[in-house]
Amino acid sequence: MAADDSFSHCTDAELWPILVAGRVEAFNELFRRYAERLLSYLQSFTRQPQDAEDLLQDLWMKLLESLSRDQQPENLRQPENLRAWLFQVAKNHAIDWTRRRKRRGGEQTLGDGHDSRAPESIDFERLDQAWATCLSALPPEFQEVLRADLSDISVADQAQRFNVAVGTIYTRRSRGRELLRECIEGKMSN
Amino acid sequence: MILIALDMPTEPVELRQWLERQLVGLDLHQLVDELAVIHGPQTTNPSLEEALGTELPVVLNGGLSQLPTPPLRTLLTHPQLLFELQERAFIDGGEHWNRVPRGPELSAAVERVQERIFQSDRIGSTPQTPPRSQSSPARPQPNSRRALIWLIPIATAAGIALFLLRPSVPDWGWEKPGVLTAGRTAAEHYLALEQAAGEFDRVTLNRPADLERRLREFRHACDALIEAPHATLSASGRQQLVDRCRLWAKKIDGHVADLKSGEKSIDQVRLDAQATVEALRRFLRDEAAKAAA
Repeated sequence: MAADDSFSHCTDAELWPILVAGRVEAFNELFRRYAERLLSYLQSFTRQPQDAEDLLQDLWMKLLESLSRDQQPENLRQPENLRAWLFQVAKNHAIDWTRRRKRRGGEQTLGDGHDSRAPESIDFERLDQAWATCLSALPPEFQEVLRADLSDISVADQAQRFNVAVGTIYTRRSRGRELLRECIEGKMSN
Repeated sequence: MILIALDMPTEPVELRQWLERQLVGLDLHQLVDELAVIHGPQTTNPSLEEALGTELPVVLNGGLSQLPTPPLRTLLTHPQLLFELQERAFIDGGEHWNRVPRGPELSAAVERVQERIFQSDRIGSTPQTPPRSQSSPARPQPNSRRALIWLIPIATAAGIALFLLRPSVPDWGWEKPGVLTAGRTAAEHYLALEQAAGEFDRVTLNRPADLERRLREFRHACDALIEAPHATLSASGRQQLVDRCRLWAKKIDGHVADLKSGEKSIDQVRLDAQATVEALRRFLRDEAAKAAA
């Protein structure tokens, strides 16, 4: 979205009264400033791109509607808190969405404040199974290196720990990742 | 499904940069799932403050580049902390987090949302609702802006000129009416594309906002070019053009990132962008010559 350059230097606090006054450039600037971050944030909750986009749209539409009624959005007392407020609204929105989805799916109703970012999806269970199966199918020396690798243990430390040359670690890492990827992606695509 | 964690770099600097990109990207949930699977249940459950300690303000201000290995390892082995870090970086993070490169898919998704806000039935559900535009809901059509004038009274009624939320349809380049279908032969088609690309610096681009807008329009036009049928080209010619355009799109994304990060001056970014445009024009000219031969 092309934003008016004269607003790009405004702080959120400066932007807010302009936005409330109905200047679309201020809305554009706010959207430009936060839409990408909000979408990333929402997708951490929804895990589905389409749902995250729906929630983002809804969020901005609600803001527009609030502005069109000449009412400042509830709970926004200090313009300096605009960024935090947007993310809090997004989070509440995402939590409500999760709750509705769970109810529709016949699952137990979640308590207030449930954070849907916890790994709990069916895909997670499948991934967990695929990972365990595929990793255990690898030669033990590959398993060791991959686990150490993904824990950010340096190659030198790994070489020392496993009593092999550094070059061997590189080879095991590369081959191990390749085998593991093939195996897991194969299982997940079935 | 494409696994993300197995792409994790092992070099310390690259790893930290890669993780920052994951934190601002669209697939953090998947990475967290994968890391949770990889490392299994943990006996401890530290908060972000406990995990990063005095490093937390440093990370929020300047990113992960200076984060020592032990707390970084804690983040990776307790991946739920990455969600907390994402939240804190978005809400309390410094300018650094705005400069972390984001993938084109994120921009594309935001553009889709922007488009849908514009076309939302909720705004159009007042008694003044006009017939819906026949233009494609997914992409702005070259002359659709004029057709959208009916929205103005609704937008005014809503207290905000909503029609302006829509990205303007450029009157230059590949998205100009007729360009993507121009030419009766392959050579003519390539030359039409080449000439349209040459309109990039037809206007003065001295302000960052103007240059960014121009680059984003060019980037958008790349997507349009990729989707276009290019009926005069052979299958291999079309594929080659699409492959090239994907490379150009990446370069343009890089120019936008350079501009937004402030790491390069506007003059340098403009020069880089002009070089990209010149390279792609040269390719199109060469292909036109080959096709004509």
